[in-house]
Amino acid sequence: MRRSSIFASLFFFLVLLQNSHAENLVNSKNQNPDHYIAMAATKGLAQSRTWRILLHYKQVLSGHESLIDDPAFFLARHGKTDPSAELDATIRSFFRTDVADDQHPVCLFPARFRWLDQQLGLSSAPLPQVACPLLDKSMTKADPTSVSMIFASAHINSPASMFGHPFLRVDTRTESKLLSNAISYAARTDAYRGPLYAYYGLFGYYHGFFSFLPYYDKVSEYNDIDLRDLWEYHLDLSAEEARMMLYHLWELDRKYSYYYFFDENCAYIILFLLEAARPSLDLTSGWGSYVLPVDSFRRVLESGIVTGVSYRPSKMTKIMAMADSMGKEWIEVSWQIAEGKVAAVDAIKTLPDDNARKLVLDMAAELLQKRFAENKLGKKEYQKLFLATLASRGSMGGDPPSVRPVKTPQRPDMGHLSGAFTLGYEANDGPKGNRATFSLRPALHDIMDPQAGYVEGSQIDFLSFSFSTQPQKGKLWIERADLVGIVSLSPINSIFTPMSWKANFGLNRREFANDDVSEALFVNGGGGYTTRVGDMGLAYFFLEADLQANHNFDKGYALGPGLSLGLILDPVPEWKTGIKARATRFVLGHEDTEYEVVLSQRYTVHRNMGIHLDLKGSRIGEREIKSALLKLVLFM
Amino acid sequence: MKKIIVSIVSFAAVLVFASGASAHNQGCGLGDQIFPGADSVLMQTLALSTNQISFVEFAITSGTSGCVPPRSFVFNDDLTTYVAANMDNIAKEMAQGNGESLATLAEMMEIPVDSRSRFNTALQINFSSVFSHEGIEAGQVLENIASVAHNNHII
Repeated sequence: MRRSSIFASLFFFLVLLQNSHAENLVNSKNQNPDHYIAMAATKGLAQSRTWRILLHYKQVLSGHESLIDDPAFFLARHGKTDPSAELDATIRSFFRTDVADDQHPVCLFPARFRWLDQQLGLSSAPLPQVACPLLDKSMTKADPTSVSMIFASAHINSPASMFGHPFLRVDTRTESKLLSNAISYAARTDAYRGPLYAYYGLFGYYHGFFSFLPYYDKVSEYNDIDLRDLWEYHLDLSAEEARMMLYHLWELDRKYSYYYFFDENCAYIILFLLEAARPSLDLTSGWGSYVLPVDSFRRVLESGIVTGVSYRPSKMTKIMAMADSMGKEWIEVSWQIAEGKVAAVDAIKTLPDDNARKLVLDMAAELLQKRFAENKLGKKEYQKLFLATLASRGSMGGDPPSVRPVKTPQRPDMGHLSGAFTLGYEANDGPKGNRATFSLRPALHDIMDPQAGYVEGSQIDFLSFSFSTQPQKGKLWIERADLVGIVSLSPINSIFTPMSWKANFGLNRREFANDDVSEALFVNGGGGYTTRVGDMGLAYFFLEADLQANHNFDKGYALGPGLSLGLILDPVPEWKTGIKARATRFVLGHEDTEYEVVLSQRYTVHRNMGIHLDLKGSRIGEREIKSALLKLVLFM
Repeated sequence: MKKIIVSIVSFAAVLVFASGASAHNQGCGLGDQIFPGADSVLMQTLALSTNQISFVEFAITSGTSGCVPPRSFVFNDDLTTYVAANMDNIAKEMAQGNGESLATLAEMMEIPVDSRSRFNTALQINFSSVFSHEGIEAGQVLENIASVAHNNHII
């Protein structure tokens, strides 16, 4: 027994000796990187999926090209377009001895290094001894355990947020999610701001960068300041995968790409990070000419890695839940405190019970913050009233007041799809005559479409085109082109009094008093107010300005003020009905008054199919025209 | 025609571009995390022209808040940064006796889970000695929190 175990130990010792001897032999052969470059070539690593992901290569006509534009991201001179040269240069760079520690490529490109190490066994190569204290410290601090994808929903009254904003959250071990970190990709616009701002944004003049911030900063930015809801999509990614994603992010730190509003945008570029976490995920291929935030969420959902979704209501949503739990008179007391008319401690004496007192004080604290944010209160005055209100509240102790729970709305990805195709027939007793119609709208949402998943009272029309035809006469017209059509009906209530607004730009084929029909360029904008009609819908008015250009106008254009009134009712989910009336008085360029009344119905067949009927009457000068349009809307 | 379309699209897109807002951390007191004038539609539209999209290098540096850390207690810079960035919410939740920002603070201070409700209650009762004056800053708030917790035998 004993003898055999000694024998076994001796045997193992010999095996070990043998192995280390073999390794030494290999090492002596592999003093230079060429051996590994040859091995990588044999394995075809430059063509592998992971290499393409880590370098953001996409297929182009001439071969491959990386979407990263910063030369510092590449180690080979033509690395942007030559995956093999970049791979060779990367392997070679790991052997460099002229730079040390944090500045060494092993530290600057940790994802590339780890992947190549796995593929080529680089750790047994005679690489220089390199320590990466900065990287290690950051990784220890971020301490990734998984990843979530966050959707900051559109806020109705903020044009900057219309499509929503996606970003990633690197989850950590902490109990509080607020202590995790957020990764966001955005254009850095401080280099140039001016009249060409949007042009620059659309056509790639700005540099896009990744940012890495505590999640609590993002929550306060979106929930508290912008008043936007957040949706957290939890992803089934392991700690190891999340780590790999961070290593890749490290490589991208301070490396710019040209930011294109439509395709190489925040919604698209972050998908590369998820692919880097798990290269078998295919998220970045097969997109068309634009990527909408909500669509990148749908793509991630299709990949099957979403394990759950949670909702983080905006401050406005929470305040409204509180307001709904209070009587009108109580809210009035909160306003008096917030306006400094009555001291908090005195104001609450008249209230019936502790529940009422707590609610009134909590609301007063919110109103104080709101007034301060709106510049209606100086900072000193704010601090004084805020602390006095909270001191009264603190002295009450005990359980929280009863507040109606916030209702979770429909998830943004569950709304109708982003693009729409429409087929219809219009009966028209005017010069246009009866016509078949069809239209295409790449994005996003018409005010008459089903609201689930979208912001109530919002319309975002982007680059939509309508056509009409009389096939028997062989005619085809562009009926209308909406470059942008935004309507934001934001109801006022006891707490918030937002303005509603609209803006439309485009081309419209229209009738004139002389019976001519031709295209007019139009710009229309307006501001007004919206109020809730029970819990069934919205009523609104706009004062607007309308400018149109067409040869039928006296001086080639017409400009004047207008007034519109409307009512939209949503009695059951399947049915929506609306009526709007508009009068425009042209005073410059051409003098005339035009009236229009439209009665719209929509029946929802299912989420992505609706039937619409619009009855319209208009008066242009002395001419009256009636029309009825029946159309089928398909979302795709 | 192409020029017209480009300029109209560009003009329209002034409204829609810029999907991020700025990370405007400055100051260490109450109200410093609220940004006056950002609420009205007009201001939001105008703000687009001055709105800077956040850009923070991934290389994490500590103590970026620039706020004075507490003098007499050993807390890390992260805690001061956190309190400075969430001061108004922490104050509100402290007076209310609970909330996510307050729970996060307790976790950062390593208050044991079974002492958290005592921690919350002690701070609620002593609200005015924590937020002792109007111009108070993050470091001082932390010192006051620590002394309340200490006096109540929580830490």
